[in-house]
Parts: sequence; C-alpha cells; structure tokens
Amino acid sequence: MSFARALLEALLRDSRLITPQLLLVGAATLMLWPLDGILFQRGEKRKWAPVTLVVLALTGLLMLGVPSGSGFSGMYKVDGLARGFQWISLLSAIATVFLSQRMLDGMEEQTVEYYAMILFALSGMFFLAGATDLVSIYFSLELMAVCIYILAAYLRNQDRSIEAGVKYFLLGAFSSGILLYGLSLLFIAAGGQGTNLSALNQALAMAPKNSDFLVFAGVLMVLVGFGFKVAAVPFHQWSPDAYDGAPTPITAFMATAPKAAAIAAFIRLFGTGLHGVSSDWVPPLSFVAGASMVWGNVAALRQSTMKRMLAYSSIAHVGYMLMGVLSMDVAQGAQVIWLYMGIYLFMNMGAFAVVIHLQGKGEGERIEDFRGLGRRQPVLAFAMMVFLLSLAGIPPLLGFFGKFFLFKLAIEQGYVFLTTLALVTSAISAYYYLMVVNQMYFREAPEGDRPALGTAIAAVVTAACAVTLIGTAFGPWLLEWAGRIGV
Amino acid sequence: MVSMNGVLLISFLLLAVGIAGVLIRRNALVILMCVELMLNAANLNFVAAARHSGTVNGQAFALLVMGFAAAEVAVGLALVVALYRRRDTVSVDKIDLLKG
Amino acid sequence: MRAYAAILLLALVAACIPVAVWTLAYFVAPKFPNPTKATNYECGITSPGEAREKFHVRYYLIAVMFLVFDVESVFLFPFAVQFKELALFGIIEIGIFLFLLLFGYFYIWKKGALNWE
Repeated sequence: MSFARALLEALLRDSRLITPQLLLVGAATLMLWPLDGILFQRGEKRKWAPVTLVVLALTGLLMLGVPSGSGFSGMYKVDGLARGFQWISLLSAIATVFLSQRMLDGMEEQTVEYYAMILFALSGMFFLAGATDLVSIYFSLELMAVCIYILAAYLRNQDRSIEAGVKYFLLGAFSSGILLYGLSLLFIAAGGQGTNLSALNQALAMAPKNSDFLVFAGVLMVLVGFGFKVAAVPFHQWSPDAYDGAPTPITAFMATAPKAAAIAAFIRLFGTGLHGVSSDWVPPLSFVAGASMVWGNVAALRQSTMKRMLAYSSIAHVGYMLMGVLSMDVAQGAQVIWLYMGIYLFMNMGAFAVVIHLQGKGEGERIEDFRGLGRRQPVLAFAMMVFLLSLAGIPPLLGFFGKFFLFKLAIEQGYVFLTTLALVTSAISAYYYLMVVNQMYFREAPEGDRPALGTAIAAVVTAACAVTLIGTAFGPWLLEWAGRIGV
Repeated sequence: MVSMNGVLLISFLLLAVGIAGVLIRRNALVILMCVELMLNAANLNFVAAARHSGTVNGQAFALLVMGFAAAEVAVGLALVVALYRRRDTVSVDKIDLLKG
Repeated sequence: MRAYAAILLLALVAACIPVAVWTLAYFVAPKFPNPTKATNYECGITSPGEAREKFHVRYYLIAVMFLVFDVESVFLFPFAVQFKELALFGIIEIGIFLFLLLFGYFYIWKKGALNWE
C-alpha cells in the first residue's frame, strides 16, 4: 500500500513541474471537442486565433511559476536549459499564430485542428526541452514530430502541401526507427536497467570492454536519428522539400520551434548521457557540423525561391549550432547555442513574415518577387534587410554576436579547423542574403499592386525588427545576461 | 536463457530488412510497414534487455513504443490516403512536385 | 540446446506430413478437370470476381481508427496485472488515459468520421 501512496504523492508533487504542458494539452483537447460547436458555432473560425493566443499567454504565465527541479523518477527536469528553450518554442508558436491568419481566412475548412495541433506540438517541445530520460526524450520527440507532419500537410487540397507532409512523414518515421534502435543498443550496453541519462552515463563508463562496438553503433544511430530531426547534412534531404511545400507559417514554425527543442535534447543527451563516451561521437558530429555548414550554404546559393533558400540557410545555421554541442563544457555550450537559437528565431520569423506578406495564394515566393520592394514599401524592405544582414552575421547586427560567441567557444575548445570552415561559409552565406537585398533596392519593381500589409504580419515584423535592433545595442553583454538568468 | 548475442543478431536482421525495404520499395504503404519492422527490431532489443537484467524498464519502453507506432501508422495512413485521393498514386517516385 | 531438439523434430515431422499427403494425392487421385470445378468455391453461389479489388477509402478510415483504439488498449494489461498494488494511483493514471481515449472517440464521432453514408 505504501508503494502506491508514494507514487501518488510523487505524481501530485511533480505535476507542478509540468503545469504549462498540462494547460497546453488540456486546452487543445477542449478546443477540439466541447468548445468547438458549443462556445462557438461551427464555422466561426476567426475566433480560434484569440483563444489560442490567450492559451499561449497563460502558458507563459504558468512558466514563470514553475519551480526548478527534477521529477517523475528523473524523467523530466526543469532547469535553465529547459526553460530557455521552452521560451524560444513558445515565442515561435505565438508568432506562428499571428502569421497564420491570412492563410486560414482564405480556407474553407475548419481551423480549430490547426491551432490544436500547434498546441499539442508545443507541449511535445516543452517536454523535450526538459527530458532527461531515454523514454521521455523519444516520446516527446515523436509527439512533436507527429503533430508537425499533420501541420505540414494541412492544406490537403494542395498537392504540394500533401507531398511535403508525406515526404516529411516517411523520412521522419524512418529516422525515428533508426533513433529508437540506437537507443535500444545503448540501453543494452548500459546493462538494460535504467533509462535515466545520468544513470546511462555511469553505466556506459562501467560497461565491459566487449560492448564497445555496441556503444559505438548505438551512438552513431542516435546521431543519425537526431541529425534527421534537426536537418543536418547528410540527413537533410527532406527539409527543403518539406519547407517548400508546407504552408508558409508552418515552415516558419518548423524552422524554429522544433529545431530549438531538438537541439536542447541533443545537448542533454550527448552532453549528459553520452558525455563519458564522447570519443565515439565527437568525430562524426564534427563531420556532420562541417558538412552542414558547407552544403547548406553552397546549396542555398543555387535556390530561386525564398522558402528553399531559407531552408538551406537553416541547415547551415544548424551546422553552426552543432559546434556548440561539440563543446565539452556543456553548460557554456548550452548557453551559447541558446543565444544563437534565440537570435535566429527573431531574424527567421521576421524574414518569413515578409515572405508571407508577399505571397499570393499559397504558391512559393520567388526571390525575383522582391524586386523594387525598397521603393514600394521602404519600411518593410528595411526590416527585411536587417533580418537578412543579421542572418548573414554582418557586424554589428545581432546575428553577428550569436556567431561571435559560438565561434569563440569553438576556438577555445580547440576546434580550429571547424571554426575556420564556419567563418569561410559565413562569408559565402552573405552572398545569397545580399542577393535578396540587391533585388529589393537595385531592381525595378514589376507592374501591379502589392498586397496591403496586414496587422498581424506587421506586428510580427515590427517585434522581430525591434528585438534585432535593440539586441544589437546590447550585443556584447548578451552572454553574461544569459548566464545571469541561468540558462 | 537465449543469449544476448542471438537476440542482437535477430533484431539486427529485422532492422536490416526494414532499412532495405524503406530504401528499395517505392510504395508508400510498404515503406510504412518496413518502418514498423524497424521499430519492432528495437522493441525486441528492449524486451530482451529487460528480461536479461530482470527489470521491467525495457518492457515498459517496448509497450510505449507499440502505442506510439499505432499513432504514427494512423497519421501515416491518413497522409497516404490523402495523397492517393489527390494524385491517384502511392508511389514515392511519382511525388516529385517539390524539387530544386 | 537439447531442449530444442524435440521442437526441431516436431517441426520436421510437421513439414513432412503435408508433403507426403500432396505426393500421395498427386499419384493416387483421379483427375477430370473442367472449368466449373476450377472456379473459387463461395458457399455455392457464383463468384462475383477477383478478391484483389480496390476497397473504398472509407474502409481505410475505419481501419485507421480501429488500429489506434485497438493498440492503445495494450496499456490496460500492465495496469490489470498490477491492479491491487497500484491501488488509487493506478486508478487515477488509467482514468486519465481512458478519459483521453474516450475524448478522442467522441471527437471522431462528432466529426462524422463514423458515418457510413
């Protein structure tokens, strides 16, 4: 009897750690059924965006009240790392809701599922950022991924959206199979008892010599699985297609929120659970990071549509962030990656907001369509220029500081070659970002009217631009600040 | 008791069949089945490790994976059916609108 | 390994029996083939066509939903085995689980996915 009582008490005690997730899941579930049709008439779809925003705001409030600590038999932990990446995912979801307005208004279907899926996916990301156990890492990763497959294919009357969803799903499911097999090998090598990351680390350190190969194979497979999820070269093939075909607001979401959560789990799994066997994963991960920088930037040069270009540029940015995972100083690596990801969030959301603004009806926007934006909508073009230059990491903009801290850490950790590669590829990336700026300011605008700027998109652009510019002013102190808030 | 090496051999063969199927077959439904095979290969490892060590963690993991696999297949089938309705095909070679 | 020898023997014997029966039938049975005999036997009525025809997409929908609810019930087994030890904790946990499952059921009901127009 006391066994069950202890479990019950632990459940009630630990529930405090996951109040934001409980709210997200509960609200999404209620939205799907009783609220849709009772509170609102069916078809009154415009009202779902405010409801979702209220839920997201409440989630933010709850996050402020969540105590730090570990719970659920060591499966979930709230610390600076978890909190930091949860905030990034939350902000990304809020921006996505704003950006989705125009697309959803033009649709005939119900929209309640769209928002519910965003909330479910967000709860998966929240769990993933704090997951400290093989079980919780795998299942929160999949909760997030399954919701995003659905969102990518949400425009089910468009061939491209369905195709993006199917491709993303097939490759995602394949990678999750490899990841799970890798986890099972690690589980066997660690003696088949505990799945906690810290226990795993200890068990792997004491593992018999003849299981070395098992550990190596497991680590490689886990690396492949996570490589797919964060879209790092050579496991990136799905990402340009999925980004291109998915509804553009969802592309913006996919490029930021799931990536942030997956990177957080990456840091935790490799930094905590596999810290002791780092000689197994440092060489392959260095290769993946280097290949992502090179191929992401080189392939982005050849793209003619904005969404594909941003997809490849996002692959390159993941390559930079993986350099932080390579850092043996896990706490500092996490801080630097968090800063980079947070900065990337604002620039990326801003750039996608401009793309969505320029979009006609669902089709991909070509880079040439930016022609003459500087004369027609000077403020918007200026904001876009800020985002692009910041993405390129041109000093003194905010993106430069993200790269600076990251590269500095990599040099300190002795990855000189990788850092040189990163610097060179950064210079290459400036070319394709500047190509868009060139289109905006030095080419004649085509005939015809531009769509009017919607309030929701204007809000996202303004917020992202303001953060980028204000952050620029405080650039040198950002790392210290990140340390102070405990990330 | 069956040795761990034997289990690893079988599960590795299962995984290899699954991976080969995903890479070779062009039918989206068959690819889905092969993914299931890969998940089950991992499940076999978990269950065997749990039995070997005399704890239940691995068994619990395997049960959860089964539940997740059902959810994944449901979403996958729904996507494939949606694809079939639009394009009249389930072959991954014929879905090539997105390229570049 | 010795314990497996009996199973191996059983498998061999089991494999031999159908082979032996087929071989015997091949040599002994009289053969008078005709088209009516060659058709599939469907309780005596005329066969409506191939078994491998396309199924309506509705079957897939039902199959998908059946799959989910069927497999989710796997979580009830460990709960049932440990029902006494888990006491109130188990009831609460399984209650949450079943509540969510039931919620999903009502959701698809309300969406009209169960209608077979």
